[in-house]
Amino acid sequence: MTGLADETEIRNYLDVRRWLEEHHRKHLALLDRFLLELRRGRLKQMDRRIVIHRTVDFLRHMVGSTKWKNPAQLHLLLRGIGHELQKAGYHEPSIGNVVRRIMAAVREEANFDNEHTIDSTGGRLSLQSMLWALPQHVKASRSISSVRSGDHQRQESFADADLVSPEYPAFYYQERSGLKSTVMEAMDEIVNELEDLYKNINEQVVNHIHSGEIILTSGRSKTVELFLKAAAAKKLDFQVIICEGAPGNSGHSMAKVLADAGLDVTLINDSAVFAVMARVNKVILPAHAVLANGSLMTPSGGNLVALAAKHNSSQQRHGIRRSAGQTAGRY
Amino acid sequence: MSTETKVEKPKKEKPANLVIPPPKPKLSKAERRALQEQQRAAKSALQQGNQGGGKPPTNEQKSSATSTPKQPQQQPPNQPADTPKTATTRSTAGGLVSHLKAHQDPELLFETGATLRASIGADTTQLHPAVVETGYRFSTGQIRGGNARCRAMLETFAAILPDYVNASNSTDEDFRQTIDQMILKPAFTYWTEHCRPHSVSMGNAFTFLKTAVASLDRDLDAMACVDKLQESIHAYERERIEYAMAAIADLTCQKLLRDRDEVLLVYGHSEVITKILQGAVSACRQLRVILVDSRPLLEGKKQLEKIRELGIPCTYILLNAMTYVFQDVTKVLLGTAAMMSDGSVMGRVGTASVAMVAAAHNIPVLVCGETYKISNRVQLESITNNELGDPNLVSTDGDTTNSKRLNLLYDLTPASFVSGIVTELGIVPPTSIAVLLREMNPQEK
Repeated sequence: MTGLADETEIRNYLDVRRWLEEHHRKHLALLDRFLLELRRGRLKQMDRRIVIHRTVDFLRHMVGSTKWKNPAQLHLLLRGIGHELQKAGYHEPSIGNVVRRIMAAVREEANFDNEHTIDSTGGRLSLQSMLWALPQHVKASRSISSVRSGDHQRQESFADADLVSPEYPAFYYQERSGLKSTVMEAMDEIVNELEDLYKNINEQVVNHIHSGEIILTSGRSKTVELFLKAAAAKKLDFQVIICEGAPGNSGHSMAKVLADAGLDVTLINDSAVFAVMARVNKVILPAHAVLANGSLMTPSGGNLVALAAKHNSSQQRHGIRRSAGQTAGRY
Repeated sequence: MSTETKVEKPKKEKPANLVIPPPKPKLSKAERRALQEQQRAAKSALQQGNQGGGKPPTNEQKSSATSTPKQPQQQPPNQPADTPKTATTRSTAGGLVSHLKAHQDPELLFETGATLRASIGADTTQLHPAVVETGYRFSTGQIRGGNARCRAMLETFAAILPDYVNASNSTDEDFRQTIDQMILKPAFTYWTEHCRPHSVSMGNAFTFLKTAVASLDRDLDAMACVDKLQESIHAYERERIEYAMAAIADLTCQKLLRDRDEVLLVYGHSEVITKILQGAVSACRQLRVILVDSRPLLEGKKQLEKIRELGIPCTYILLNAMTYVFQDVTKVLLGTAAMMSDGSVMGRVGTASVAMVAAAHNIPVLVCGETYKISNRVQLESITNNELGDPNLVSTDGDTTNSKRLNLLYDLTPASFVSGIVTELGIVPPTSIAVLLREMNPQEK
């Protein structure tokens, strides 16, 4: 629908839905379907990388075939989509990380070639630029990351409208030819990193697991499973004690899988974790998410394991996937 | 790490002070395999040692001369592969708990006979049938819990004593000896060895019984002995169990519980906790309870029924969900199976986890135990002295060579997690348990 430039453009990140409805009905339907799947929690299955793959595919489709014109529009589009996804898939922090990372790629591309205006170091602003730039400039860059995290500490000198519809610096509104391909590259990079994920972690296994040790873990996790299998493949002779993780009892299948791989496993109830901890050398916990203050989100029961280990002064290792996001948090 | 470089020594040169060991006989491949099989058999024989397997066959096959290339025939006499299924299911965790007695499956211990329960593998001809019946109940878990088991033991003894009076009435026989050798000792041994290892409560009560028997007057005739003993037994039950529980409930309600807005966290099933809650309800305390339960026994369900009967608002969670509810909790009340003399508390497995989380949140942990459960043992951690339960309750997949299930029944809560121990003699800090022990047994140093 042609008309004023205002209507074909996204005004702010909350406007994305309306914009999609007017111009890209099918994409809106796709978004809604994805949100539904997220809400149902069906995507997780066994391998949480599926979530990343689906998110990246979805974003690829969104970015690839919608009519955004300049970096500012794309940035707003991504932010809007991210906002929607966050509401539905809040229990999967990795989705937000993926979106943020693509947005960072957009900013990086937009800031590229603009050293005379901004002394850019990877898209971030330096003190000089903050002093010399327009006040909206400062507002725009800060509001992107802080509004999402609900930062209420800042002074109320900025009007609310500015937070919602930030003004980007002027060069953000210029059309750039290489932007789409850059963004697609960034997405490919994310997906490629997932391939090497386990390899990078498992390379370090000899540093952490030695022969004759007793390792304790809780529940079922693919990362930990591959880590331990890699240790077994290196002919290290160790034993594994697995907490079952009631009520889901995912530890039962973990025990079976590891036993089939030839490891010496013992299955115990969650209640026995304190009792056996006196004999355990190391504890390996899977990470659902690592938060900005260093806290760890794990499947239920990880807290008991961690406290017991601390009391018995075992060493703890968090099994984490490699970071794919620059901002807070990892998978 | 020192690197050893291989130096090719020419065979003629030998330094003067080099000692060369005599050359080993070169074995053929078949002989080497035979040797290996033999060593493997010897190793498994050693592991099955307490089945009467005898010494492992000595290594005589080193010489190359006459060993035949067939599979070795020397196997230890009790090769387990061919024997019928035994009553014990070995469930070790790489030697972690090899010092503990393996769990005995009640199906294999007892015949499901018509009238009388019969025991397989144990000579019960000299035992009273009631003893076997009680043993069966211990073994299957129908009677569970420190107080319940102790009560069952005492009542069994009280019930069977009169049956022995008519049998041996001769006056020159010391009836006390009879009681000791023929009734008490065999029954207790039978229960411990063939049904289920005894608890500390049972052990202490049994010690009391023996002392009571020894202190019977020599001149009493059989019937009088029996009467006196039954009286002692009932007195012990009344004072050390029932009265103690009532006193603990009283103390807790009066001194520890708030008038209102009390949120108690309890774990599993405990008789004394039920008594406390009953007391709280009759004292009109406004409270609610968070009940934590755990697999595999899920004893909390029993407790839940009792709490609901009392009409107390209750939240039921599993162990893993504890941290979510802890911000509301004001106190933690725990039952116990035994109290060690250094103040550490032995309880149902999982108790230590509850106490640990409470300590991490700075919530007071109160352990409620009758004094007859105090043991003069000192235990440093949970595994040195424990009991193994049925591994099938953990998971129904069987044990394989490298996959085992471990079902521990008890765990030890360190004294540092416990804020106070409520006994019928008062509320004491955990370090005072040794004092209580001394007070109760003044004749012991």
